[in-house]
Amino acid sequence: MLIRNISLIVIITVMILIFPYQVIAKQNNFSFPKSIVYKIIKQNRILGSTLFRLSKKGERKPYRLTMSDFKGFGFNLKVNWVSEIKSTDFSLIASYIVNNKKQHLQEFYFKAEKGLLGNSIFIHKSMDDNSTKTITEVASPYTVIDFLSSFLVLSKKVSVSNDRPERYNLFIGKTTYIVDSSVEKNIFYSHKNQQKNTSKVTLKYFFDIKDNSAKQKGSESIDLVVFYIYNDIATGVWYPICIKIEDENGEKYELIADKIL
Amino acid sequence: MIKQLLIILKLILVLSVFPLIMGNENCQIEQQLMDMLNQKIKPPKGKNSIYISHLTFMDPTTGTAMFQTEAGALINDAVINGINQAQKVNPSFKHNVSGHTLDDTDANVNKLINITFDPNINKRDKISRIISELMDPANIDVIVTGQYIEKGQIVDVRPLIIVKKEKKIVTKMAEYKKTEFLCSDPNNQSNKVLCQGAHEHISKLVKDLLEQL
Repeated sequence: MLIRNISLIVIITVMILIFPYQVIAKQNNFSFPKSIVYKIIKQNRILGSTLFRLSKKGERKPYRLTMSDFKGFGFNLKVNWVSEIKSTDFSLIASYIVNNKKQHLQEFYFKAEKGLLGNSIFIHKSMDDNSTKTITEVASPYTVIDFLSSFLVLSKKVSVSNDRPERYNLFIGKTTYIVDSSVEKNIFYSHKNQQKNTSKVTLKYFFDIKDNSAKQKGSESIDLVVFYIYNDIATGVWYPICIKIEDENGEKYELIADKIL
Repeated sequence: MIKQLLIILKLILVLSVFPLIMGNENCQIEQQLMDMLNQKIKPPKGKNSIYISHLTFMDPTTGTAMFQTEAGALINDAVINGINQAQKVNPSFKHNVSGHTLDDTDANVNKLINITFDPNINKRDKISRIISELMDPANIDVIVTGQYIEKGQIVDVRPLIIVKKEKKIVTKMAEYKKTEFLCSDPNNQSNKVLCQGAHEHISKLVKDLLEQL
């Protein structure tokens, strides 16, 4: 009896110790951290930090990705950016920005409703103005992603050594845009004075696509988002250690992983 | 003594203005973050021309083009106005230029209706047929058209764009009371026109749609 109780206590203690390091997205040996604190940097200046979280409420429930706790010197932006993705293929189900009163400021979601092309539509609604709904019907076969879900989608891609260029329907603004991903392996990224071996994944937008197979030589493109995906051998997790974005005004933002919680 | 006083005064001044400066900067940072959250990483417009044609709206209830209807012609005017407004903002938009025009004919609108309202065609085939049968022969990148649905006293107007490059359809929705949709022409009471609000709103929706390109 005593030995049984001791064993139970030991098991529970081990579980409690392991829990904080538990990884949520575990699929075909792919593991993603539960929480990451990112430093937000704009034009080489630290603005503050944000917390990126991954959660799942049940076996068949979607993954939920949240970016929140936007804090810096003297500011505290009380909004959460949430994206929900299918647990099977990580495709986007919904993406919304919600304030601390739990009011949605903006939302984009999938709905199985009749459209012109079929029975699946994406609806964008912005609550801060009187803008009408924007409905997007995607007929291309590429997975629909958004900025948050791309953290997971691209980490998974790198983790399974899928270096092939792939296309995605990236939700930006009010609708989706087809983007091309490219992977460069063994890119050393300097992180906290350590050179870390990463895979650089770039989401490119081509202004002119003439056909599905080959890009036109010299066709105009821009790098929309650049991810440096890192595999921490000690914990087995894959995650973007740095993300670089340029907004429509040409201003450069960086998210740099500061802490894995 | 005076020098010290001046330094103290300067310090007081700086300290009193400091919260204002920081407050402003914090607001700016919050706004910048909101901009980032609102995903203002939209691709900038390319240098290439984007060829646009418009087709008269479709009535899904009857499965016909709205050529012979009063509302059809009036909506067309508002749509063309919206395309012109978008062209002013983005000169790479080319509307019905020589060699890049899909004629707004009964045959073309009916072809679009037959493809889109056929329940036996899947979405990928639908978009492929719209591209190969309508857009490629006309050398255009975007079709601007829409749906018009009457629901009792409500008029449901849905302007849409079909984008060849992205293989997608983007639609905006607007509902008007019938009394706020068709008004009498102030210059000729026997003629009907779109009420000012409806005309401007439809133009704006079309402009907004083209801004998503």
